[in-house]
Parts: sequence; structure tokens; C-alpha cells
Amino acid sequence: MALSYQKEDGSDLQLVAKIDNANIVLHLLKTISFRETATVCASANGLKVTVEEGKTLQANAFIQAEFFQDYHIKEEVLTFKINLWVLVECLSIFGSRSSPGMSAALKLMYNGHGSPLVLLLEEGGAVTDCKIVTRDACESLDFNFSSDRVVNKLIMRSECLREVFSELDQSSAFLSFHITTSPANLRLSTSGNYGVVQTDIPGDSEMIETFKCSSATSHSYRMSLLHTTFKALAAAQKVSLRVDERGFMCLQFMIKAEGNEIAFVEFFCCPEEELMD
Amino acid sequence: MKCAITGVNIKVFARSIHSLARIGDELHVEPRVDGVSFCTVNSSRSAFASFLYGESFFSQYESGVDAPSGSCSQSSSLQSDAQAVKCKVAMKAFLGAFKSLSNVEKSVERCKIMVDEACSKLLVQLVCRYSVVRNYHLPFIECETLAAVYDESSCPYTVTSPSRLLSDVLVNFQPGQDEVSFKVTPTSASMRNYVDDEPDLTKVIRTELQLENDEFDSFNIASDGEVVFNLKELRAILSFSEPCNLPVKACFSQPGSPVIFGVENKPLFECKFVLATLIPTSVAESQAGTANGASLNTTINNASTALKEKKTRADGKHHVVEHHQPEMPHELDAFDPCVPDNSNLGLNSCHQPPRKEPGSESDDIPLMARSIRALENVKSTEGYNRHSTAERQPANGSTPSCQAQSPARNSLLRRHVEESDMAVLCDGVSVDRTRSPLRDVAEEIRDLGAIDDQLVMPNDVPPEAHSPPLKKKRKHFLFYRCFNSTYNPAEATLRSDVLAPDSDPED
Repeated sequence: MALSYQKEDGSDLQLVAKIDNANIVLHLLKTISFRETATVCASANGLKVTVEEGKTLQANAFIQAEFFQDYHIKEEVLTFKINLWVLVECLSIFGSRSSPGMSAALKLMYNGHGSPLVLLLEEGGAVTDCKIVTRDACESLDFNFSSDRVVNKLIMRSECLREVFSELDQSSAFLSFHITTSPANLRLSTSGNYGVVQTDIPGDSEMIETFKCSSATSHSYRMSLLHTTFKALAAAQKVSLRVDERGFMCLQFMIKAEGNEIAFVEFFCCPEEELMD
Repeated sequence: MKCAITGVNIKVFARSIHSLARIGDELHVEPRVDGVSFCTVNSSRSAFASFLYGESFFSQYESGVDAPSGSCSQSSSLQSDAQAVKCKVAMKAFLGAFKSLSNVEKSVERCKIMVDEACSKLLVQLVCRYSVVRNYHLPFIECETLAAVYDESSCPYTVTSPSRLLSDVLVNFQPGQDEVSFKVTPTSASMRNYVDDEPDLTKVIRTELQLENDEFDSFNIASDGEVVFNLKELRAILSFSEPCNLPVKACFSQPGSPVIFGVENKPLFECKFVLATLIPTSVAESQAGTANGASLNTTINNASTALKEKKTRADGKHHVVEHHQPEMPHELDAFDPCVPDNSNLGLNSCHQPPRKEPGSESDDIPLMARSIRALENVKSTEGYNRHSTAERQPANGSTPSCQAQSPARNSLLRRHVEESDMAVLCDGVSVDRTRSPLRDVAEEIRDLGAIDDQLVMPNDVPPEAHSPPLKKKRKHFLFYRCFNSTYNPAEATLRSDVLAPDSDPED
């Protein structure tokens, strides 16, 4: 069945990637697995897995080529759509926790358009062979978020934001971000069933590493969309928050994977339109 | 009103809010000269809880009330900060600020509460670590003072107990248990679950714990008393007092009057929970089913083991119920092995037939089985009396037979039936030898139906190894007329009143 794929070099495959610890890939994918379908885009740089929520939110997880012990790609870019939840299930087939010394080795294989994504996982002599059906990839959203149009940028440690997010009033539909220059402050406010709650994080807090604010911005985002970032926030060490002139927010989470590799997961979120009354 | 809380007091305050949240849906905030009172009442108005925080609890306090010696510039002019407004906010809203107690402990450094009358908002400001500041703007409604009508000083019964004791006691009750009955005598106390409306009392688990008066911090009980209140509310009190390690003071009077639980740490805070009480009905928890023998066993054994380390005696203090048939004196000793002589009995009955010393052979048979066996022989011509005794055995006066029994058995013997229940029944069933036999039978059936369970389980002793015979006896008992040779239809004398007319049309 999978014997044809078990060539030593896999030279006739479009994409072959080998990694010693599958948990790195697994944990990254778990942070964005709020939707079932993901688009995988493989290039010479590595794998980019994209999950979208309607047309309002996009999450990208980057698994760089440097993570892999072995990474060969024939085409320039390979894209396909895959069931992310199935992929996560397969990757965690040996359990998602790795005991020291024992970790599942992963070999990813893909042979171009129409062929399934093949995973070979091996741990302690046991080998699992998974074939996941792939579909044609649709065009990913391009939020057109460019660094030169960023108005405000903050980099902070994730513990602070984690505490703030855990205490948010969940009955509120929207979460507003107000960034002001003087005093340098990030204010998150919710308006829920029981009143208004405002959380102020001053720019000089020891948790904020960078606070670059060129002009005061104030935008609201849907709470349900921001909820999708909670898993990534829980795993991250640092968060970078950027708002551009249209109010689009980009949250980048720096996640330290096992083995001291640094991976990034980013979320793009659309602001709520202010209705003109 | 403006106040600030710092340090460990924040956690105490948060816990008090959680405790209040378990009672009511609206939090009343009332600033006074000497402190602030946070109180609530539940929707059915059967529980009132209040926490009064003194000025020393706060690191900063401005009541806004016109105080004689207060800084006039603040209180007399129309200032915007400290206004003595009595207001109420939604409990959930206020609780939202102190949602997670662990987070509060970890991250909150200072808590400020301010009444902003201009915007009708109560502001709760939490200054947290990492310089993060959280502001909660909660809309409030102005209201009048919320006060419960009670008089603590007039309560004849006062018991102060360590919170630990009460929570150990409450652990033994089923989680869904609503009401508990707290019964006191001058030397002891007992807590048991109170079942009022269960139609099938054989399905009910009954729990009872006995406590000695030396386990309490203070025990001012002049005479016997009882109070029935809601367990959930007591748990709310304990969730606050136990982490603080403070004793709980309970004051109550007769059934029906409220019971007042107080926890205080003057001058920092003072907490009062006023709970309405039930008047125990005659169809009380005394009727327990045989079917639950096994579970009763477990529950009671658990209760007993929980308290075992506090108890030094396995014999002795227990309450006993007697059922006996005046016409069968030789059966009487089967009922109660632990009553040595008649003089100790509190007699409620009309008859007190002579009885022999308790036989040792009856010790091994559960009291209930014995009583049923005795009742099998009820003559249809006679009514019968039952009288119960809620009787205290002096520790050294108990019979050797009692002491010879195993501790487990003795713990099972700690039952008591509502003295009042039995008294009522006793009064209802009187002996009248002059009545006609059939009439007696009819009355007996009626009475049996009403007090059936009482007879079956006079002593609430679950049959251990003797269940099969018990069932047999019960069957015999229920259908006693089938097995009774005394009723002979041929010999029945005619009644004057027709019980049921002929269904066949005569003509």
C-alpha cells in the first residue's frame, strides 16, 4: 500500500519532508485548528498552513524548512486543501505528549495535484501510515497588510495579554482596542450585559517591550474572532500587535517549539465597521 | 462612597462576594459612617446575607455620609467622589470583577470601589500586576436599605462552632440535599437531613450525625431545640468562613423563627446570614424505607466514622423508639434491648405494661424485625398503642447487652424518631375495647395505612443480614388479614352501616 512511497530518497515525489519530532508540527497546527479545512502552501521556505474564518479572519502557521531534517520540494509552490482536524488527529496518533527521549518521527510526502498527503509516523519501532485526501486549494484571502502601512505596533510578553484575555467579559460581542500616544496606553474595552469593562495596559509596563504609536487608533473586533487566537496565545511567549490605517489588526505569536526552535503564527482580523447613525 | 482595599483583604473581599453570589442576584451596597455593608437577599426572601466591612478593613475609606466629626469640606458640599448613595448592582456584574479567585490572588494588587452618582455607575478598579488596570463600570439603581427583621439577642439557643467542624459535618450530606435539621439538647447536638415532600420514603437516604457539646466553641442550650434550614446557604457561609478559619455562631429559637449565622473578625468585618427555617411536619424524616437499608448503612457508617475520632464511646447516647403491643407483654422485650427499666422511659402512651428485662436473644435481631413480628400478632379486636421514647441513655447506665454489641451495630442504633411525631400518632390511636371487631379492623386498616411506615421502621435500623426474613414479615404484615386466623367472615357480626351497596340491581 504505502510501499511505493517508502523509497529511501523519495526522489520522484513532489514534496518530501522529514522531521525527528512530529510534536513541533502538531503543536503549531493545534493553535490554528479552529476550523476544519486548511490550505497548505509548500514552498522552498517551508510549509504555510492557512485557516480562514469567513472573509474576516485568517490564521497562518509557518513551519520553516529549517525545522525539518530533510526537506525537498520539486515545484516552486505546491498548494492543496486538507482536513486539518484529521491531520492533527493523525499527527497525535502516538499521543501528543512526548516523553523525553521518545518522540515520533514524521515523514511527509506529497506527489502533486490529486495525490493524497502521506504521513509516516514512527515511534519506538511502531510505524503508522496515514493517507489524507487533498482537495484543490482556493485562493487565499489577501488582506493586503503591509508593514509600511502599519500605524501602531506593540510587542509584549504573552503572560500579560493572557491574563487580560482570561478576564474579559465574555458576554460582550465586541472587543475594542484603543491605542493612545500620550499617555502611551493600550486599552481593551468590552461592553457586555453587566456594564463596561476597560483594561488599561500602559506603554511603560514591564510587559511591553515595544510601543510604537504614531497616532491614536480605536477599533472594535468581534469577540468570537478573537477567541480563535486564544490557543495560540496560550502557547506563545511573545505577541506582536500591529494595526494598519484601515484598522486591520495583525497578531503575531512567537511560539517556542520543543528543541528551541522559534515558530510564528499570525492572525489577521477585520475591524468592525462603525455604523454611521 | 470611596474605598480602597489592599493586600490579603482583597481575597477576603472577593470570597465574600462569591459567598453573597450564592445567595442572591442583587448586591446592595450601603455606605455608612463606620463602614460599608454589602448585602443580598435571595429571590424567595428566605435568606438574607450581609457583610459589614469596618473602616479598618480598607486602606482608604470615605463614606460620604455626614459624619459629626468628618471632614466637612468633603461631606457637606456637593462633591462628586464620596456620596452616600445606597444602591444595588447586579450580582453577576460585580462578581465579574472577582470571577476567578486564583487570578485575584495572583494578580490584583489594589482594589478601589467608588460610587459615581453622576453617571449612576459603580466603579470597581482593580490595579493588577504588570501595571495593568481594570475598570469595571457597573450601572446601579438607587434603593432603600435592605434589612432583615431579626433579633439576635432574644435567641435562647446559641452555638458557636469552628468552621472546620461544620464543613466536616456537611461533607456527609448528599450534594442535592436541601434542608437539614439541627437538633440540640443541653448536652449534645445532631444534624440530619430533612425530607418533607418525598412521597415514597423508602427511596430516601437519611443521614444523621451526632455531635457532642464539647466539640463546639460555645454551647448555650438551655433546653431541647430544633431548627430546620437550607443546607445550600450554610455551605455559602462556610465557603467564606473556612478559608478565614473563623468560627461560625448560630443563634436560633423555636422552629419557624429565623436562624442567624454570624462570622466576625471585628473590627475588620462582620458577616450575618439570616435564614428562614421550616417547621418540621409530623410526616418527617422519621419514616425511612427498608429498601435503603444498605445505603443507610453506608451513610450512617460514614457519619459515624467521620466523627469517631471525636467520640470516645460506642455505646451510650442514643435515642430509642419503642413500639409495643400492650396485649403481648412477652413480646415487648423484643423491642428494645437497651432500655433497662421502665423508669427511664418518657412515657407518652396510655398503657405501660410490665416488661421483663431485655432478653439477650433479641439483641441480634434488628429492632424493626422484632417489632414487625410483634405486630403480626395484633389482634383485630384491639387497637394498639405505640409510644415512642426519645430517650437518652446515661453513658454508664446502658445495659450490658448494648455494650456487648459491636460498635457498628451501636452506631446504627443511633436513631431517633420525632418525639412529637409519635406523640401525635399516639394521640390519634386510642384503645377502645368496647368497639365492635369489624369497626376495629376498619380503623386499624386506616391507621395502618397512615402510619404504615412507622410500624415497619420503628427504629430506623436497617436490616443487615436479615433482609429476607424481613420481607417475609413485611408481606405478612401487609396482608396480615390473609394470614391472620383471627378474622373469620362467618363469625363476623353484622354492622349497622353499609360499607358498599350491592352493585347488582335488585329489581
